Amino acid sequence: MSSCSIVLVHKLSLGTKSKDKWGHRMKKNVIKIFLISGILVFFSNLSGYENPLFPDIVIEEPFSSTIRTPMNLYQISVNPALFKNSYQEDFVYYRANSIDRINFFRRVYDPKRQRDYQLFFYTHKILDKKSTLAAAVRYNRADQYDVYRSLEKNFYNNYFSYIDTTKGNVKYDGPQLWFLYNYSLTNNLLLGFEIDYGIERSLKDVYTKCETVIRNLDLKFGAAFNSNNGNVVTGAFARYFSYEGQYNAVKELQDAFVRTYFGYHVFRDENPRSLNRKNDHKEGYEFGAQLARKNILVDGLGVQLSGSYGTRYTKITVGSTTIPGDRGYWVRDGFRIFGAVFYQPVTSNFMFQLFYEYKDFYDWARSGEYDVVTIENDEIMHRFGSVLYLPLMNKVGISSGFEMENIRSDYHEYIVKFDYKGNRINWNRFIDVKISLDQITNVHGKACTGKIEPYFYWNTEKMDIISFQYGFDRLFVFGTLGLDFNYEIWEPDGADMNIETFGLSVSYWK
Amino acid sequence: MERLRAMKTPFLLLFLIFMALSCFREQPTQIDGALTLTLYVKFEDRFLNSIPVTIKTYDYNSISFGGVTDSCGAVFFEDIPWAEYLTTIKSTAIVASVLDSNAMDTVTVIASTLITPTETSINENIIIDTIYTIASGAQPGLKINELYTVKVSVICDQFIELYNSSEDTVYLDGMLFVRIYIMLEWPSSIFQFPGEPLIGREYPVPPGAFVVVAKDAMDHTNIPNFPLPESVDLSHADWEFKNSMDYGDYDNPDVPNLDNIEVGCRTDFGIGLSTDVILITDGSDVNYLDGIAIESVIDGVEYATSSTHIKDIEKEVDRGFGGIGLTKWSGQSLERVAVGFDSNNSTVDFVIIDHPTPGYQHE
Repeated sequence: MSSCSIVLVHKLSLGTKSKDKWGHRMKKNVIKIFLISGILVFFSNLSGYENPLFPDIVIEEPFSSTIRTPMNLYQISVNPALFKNSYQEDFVYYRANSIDRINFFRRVYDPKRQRDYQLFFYTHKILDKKSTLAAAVRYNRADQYDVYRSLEKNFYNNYFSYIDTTKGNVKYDGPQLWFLYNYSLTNNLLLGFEIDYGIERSLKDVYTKCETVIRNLDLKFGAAFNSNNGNVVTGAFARYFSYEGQYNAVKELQDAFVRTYFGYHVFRDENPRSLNRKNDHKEGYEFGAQLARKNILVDGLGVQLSGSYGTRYTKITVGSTTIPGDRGYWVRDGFRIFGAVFYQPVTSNFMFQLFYEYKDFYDWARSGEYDVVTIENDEIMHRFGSVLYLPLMNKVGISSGFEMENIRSDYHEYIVKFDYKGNRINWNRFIDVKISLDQITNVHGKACTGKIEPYFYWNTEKMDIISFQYGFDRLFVFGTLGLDFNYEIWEPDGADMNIETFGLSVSYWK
Repeated sequence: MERLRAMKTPFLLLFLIFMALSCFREQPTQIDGALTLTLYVKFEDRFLNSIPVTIKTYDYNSISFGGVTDSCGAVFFEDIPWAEYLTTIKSTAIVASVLDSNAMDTVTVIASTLITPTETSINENIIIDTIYTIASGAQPGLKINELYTVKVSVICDQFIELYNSSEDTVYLDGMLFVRIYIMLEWPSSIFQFPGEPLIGREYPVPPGAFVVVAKDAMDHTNIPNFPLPESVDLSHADWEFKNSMDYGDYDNPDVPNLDNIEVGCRTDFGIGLSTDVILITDGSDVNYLDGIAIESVIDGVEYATSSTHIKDIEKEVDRGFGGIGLTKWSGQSLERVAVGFDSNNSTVDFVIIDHPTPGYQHE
């Protein structure tokens, strides 16, 4: 679970009409803020250089403003056909941000420090009554410092990881493109297509130098049906994603010593070569359906339900560039159900939502040379939470939220027996205040606390999390400018050291 | 027509479901770490009991298991990972005497075999195999006893150790060390001991004696500004490879040299780190342009780190190859399982040891 993040459920319409000018101003702001939140969700889901089978339904908004609207059906379902329903105004957004994460407490293969930089442009435009087009371009850069041995961006995310014998710094960078096209075939029937394409390369600055080249593709097709009065929406989508990664480990004068891990305890020393290579090929599918109903019994009360089923396949080969050795593959398949109930009456800005997520997936890995299972992992997640938004005197808005998740893991390594059965509980809560100083200037602040019980490879029982975010935005003739700061600390139980994150973001939108 | 169209829809859905399901991989029925390996140990036609057996895999990090044969000559390894195992046996056994059927002899038996699982054995989760041991000391003569090739760094601390396992003195005069590129037709590096081949008596090797031939005869553990304690001291080697046309090649004046005889070659004797073929010949065939005559070969050893290696030398010279699992730059060495032991199959005859042992046999 991401720390201090909150899930939002979307109401299908974008809010209420307000007759007075101040109210209209606020309404515009609500839309903008909502859009920013939505975009941040896009890009936590865009998964530039990773393709999770079930992208997290979570708002990672280190610099966000107060949450005022429920999450929309597009956000919880990733069905591109539902985009047009969710975003009905043209919008342009730019952002530059930087995050500095210092891992005073770290696992063996974590970097001591990581700096992320991002340049980001997003727009969507309603082309005509039938068509909506959205596009985004993002440039990412991540500098990892003092990475001990790992040749992976995140060693612990893989069952087949690659390490060498050195400590060095690694720089990752690359662009990412995203397009979405939505078309109304009839008044009731919507079609959508979405593509996310990213490339990334990196270089480790010491011998063994390791150059990685990664290509990522994510395609989604969807269809949706709107009832005539707009109260009922149903849809279905299919997703195909693929990932092609290549790690070239090169040593000067001598050969590159590399080692392939199978799980987290067993490894194999690869034959030293002047050039050792790991090829990582992933592809997967996801199929899902959604149903939403609003204005049930009373105006503003709605429910949403989304479910998907999918599988992902990852194959690893390593060693010689000409005849790489087969090191095995692993498969993840499972399903997810996400349900939400929200209440946002038309006559007020008050909003309350409850959500529940159930995720069940199963991993198994096969040996490279023999038809036997080497790793199994069965994981079930229950997650629930709520968000409440209270407007005060039209100038102050307070939102608060809470979420909790229970993860049951049953993990086994079979090559050399290792079993882990975990029943972990993570939670977080937040309070977020936004104050309109005048008609063009807003300030906001957010505080969040939480606790996570991490996996066995963190070597700690639990971590306490505290974060603060604050910032302001101001309307100018050319658009709105925003500046945000973020500080977050993770305090592992029983350790003197912690993990600290500092963030700075400059945004412009209109 | 309408009806036909309506019938198409379920088929289309079935097709889509089938397409989706075809994306899924079938999970194997067996899990790793559940293999049972049963080995029967034999010497000639009888099973041997109380024989220690060691199996080791290079597929994963230093996983090895040990066991002792029971009264039926069987040893069991249960719940072990699926992998290729190198089985080694080196023990004494009491067997019936060849000369007197009423007497018993104590012999040293040796075996080294690669056990590779097959698809059939995976289905049954069990491998049963028989290991045939042989008495040490087979085929006596001058042997390449140890090859230290993988080094610990860029320095040239490689050496070749010879051993005279015969009961007669042999003479190194005029003998050749030959590196083979591909088969006997294609030698790639040829150095010769001084003296007259076949008839020279200048450089004797008594029975049971070792001869260490160093690439550079220096103390590699104590090089100024580049000390490598994990390397090897070759300053007291018996011989040194020295190409007299290579003016940069190190030469220890206290150690006699073998010199290059290949026209145009200006480099030291080449020894591949992890894959190569090294021969010692009697020197009767020095015309290397048409290859090396097989009759002149005294001993030859092929080594390679990968079990899938394709042989580079005729089976008459070496039926197998040693060194599977040998790691470059690790300081490991390749030595015969017992001193001078030679069954003309380096897969069986050689074992990887953690550190080189120039001039003596590992325990």
